Parts: sequence; structure tokens; C-alpha cells
Amino acid sequence: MADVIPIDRERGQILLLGGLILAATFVLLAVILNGMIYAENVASQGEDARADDALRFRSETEEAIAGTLRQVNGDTSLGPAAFTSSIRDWESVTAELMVERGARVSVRTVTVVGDSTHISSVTIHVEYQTRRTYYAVQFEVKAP
Amino acid sequence: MMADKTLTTHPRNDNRAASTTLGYALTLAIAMLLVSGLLISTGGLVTQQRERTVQTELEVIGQRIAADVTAADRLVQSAGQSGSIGAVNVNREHPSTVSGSSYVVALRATKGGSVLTLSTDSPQVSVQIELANQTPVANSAVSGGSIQVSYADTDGDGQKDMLVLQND
Repeated sequence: MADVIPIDRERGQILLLGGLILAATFVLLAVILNGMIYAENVASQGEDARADDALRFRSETEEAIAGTLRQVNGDTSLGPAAFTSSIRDWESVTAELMVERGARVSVRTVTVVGDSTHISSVTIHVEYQTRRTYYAVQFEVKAP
Repeated sequence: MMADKTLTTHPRNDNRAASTTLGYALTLAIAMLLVSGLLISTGGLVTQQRERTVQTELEVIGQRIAADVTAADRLVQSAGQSGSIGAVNVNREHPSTVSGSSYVVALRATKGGSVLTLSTDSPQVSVQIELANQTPVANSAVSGGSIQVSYADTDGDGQKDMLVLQND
């Protein structure tokens, strides 16, 4: 029997060690599968329309400026100064509204081409910034 | 008579002891066989699952980066003929590792678009995503984590001309 006891102990060690390694493997498997679930969860999330919002703001600005140009050109008492101040007012109102939507915007008149009563075109600088997207563009708006 | 009895008893005793020892040895061998079999098969399972997970995660991350590149491309194209782009940056936070291994994201220009390649070293997994973009892209590679797609000046003439990937 004296020879048998060490064998018996060794068997216990193998089972213990084997069990421990198996347990660790299953824990690892759980972690890996969790990563897979996370990836699939992320994949099923809707894509946030980051370019869409910026582009919508740009076209809204373009429309607002075209409208202002129409109004300023239609009234001979108004000139480039009235246009610039009108755009500034529009910007401050819009910026406040956009902050509620999580975006910081700025609209700036770069150049105004025309005379004291008629504006033929303006160059506008638009900046749109959210936590993830930054978009700055300069474009020309011609009088309709 | 006495001698005979001793002779007949001894072999029987020897047999019994041998059977006990053999029994232990056999049990031990079977246990080892079972345990090692289980270990080998679960080890293989873990490796296989890990590769699949890395592949899936890279695909998901790749699609998200592709969406960012496309968004940046659309924003750059929005300037049109008369306008000019001041800046376009689109950034996003991605996991820095996939199943514990770090990965590299490479953007490469091809005919008529670009290819986004995401790869890990261990396990060796690579995922390719083709993009159809209008804005030219600069060949660039970044490591996983926070990745920014930006419209940058790549030839040093002061004019922004290409989309590049950067670590934020």
C-alpha cells in the first residue's frame, strides 16, 4: 500500500489542476463571447447621421441668406450694412437653437459684392461643430 | 503440505496486489486521457472562438470607420465648385483592443475609391472594406482607439486636398 498512496495523490493533483485549467478556459471563453456580443450590439445600433446634420445646417443657412438678399435688394433703402447686421441677428438666434441640438455654429459674412443699393453676391463662412464632427466651409451665394 | 499451501497462497496474493496497482494506474491513465482531451478540445474551441470574435469586431469597427470616411467625403464634396472647405474632421472613439489584441487600421487609395484594412497580429486576422469615395484619400495607417478622419494638406502647398486617418 505504501507504493499506492503517492499515485493516489498524483491523480488528485491531475484532476485538480485539470479542473482549474478547464475553469479558467471557460472563464476566458465567456470573456471572448462577451466581446462578440458587444460587437454585435454596437453593429445593430443605428448610425448617427453626422454628415446629414451638418449639411442640413449648411443648406438652411444658404436659404436664409438667399431670402435676406432678396429682401435687401427689393428695398432700396437697405444696403450691405443692413444685410450684414441681419445675418448677424439670424446667426445669434440660430446659434442658440443649435446649442439645444448639441451643435456649436457660426455664420460669418466674408465679402459682399455690390453697390450701396444692390448686392450681387456674398461669400459666407459657416462653421458647424459637434462633439464628433467639425465642418467649416466657405461658399458664395448669388442674389436671386 | 505446508510447502504446498505456501506455494498456492503466494501467487493469489501477488495477483491481488497487481490488480490494485494496475487499477490505480489504469484509472490514472484514463483520468489523464480525459483531462488532456478536454483541455485540448477546449483550447481549440477558445482559439477558434477568439478568431471569430476578432473577425466580427474588426468588421464592426471597420464599418464604423468606413461610415466616418464616407461622412467626411460627403462634407468635403458639399463645398461644390464655387465654395471651399475650411476644415472637415470626423472623429469617433473605438475600442483600443479586440479580444485583448491591438489592431491597425490602414486606408489605401485604389482605382475609383479606397480600401480600409483592419488587421491584428495575434491571431492573424485581416478584414477589408471597400469604399467608393469622391475625395482622394492619402495612404495612412493608425492604431485602434480614437480615430479621426480629417481633410488635410498632404503635399504641403497650403491647400487641403486629401482625407487622412489620424489618431486623435
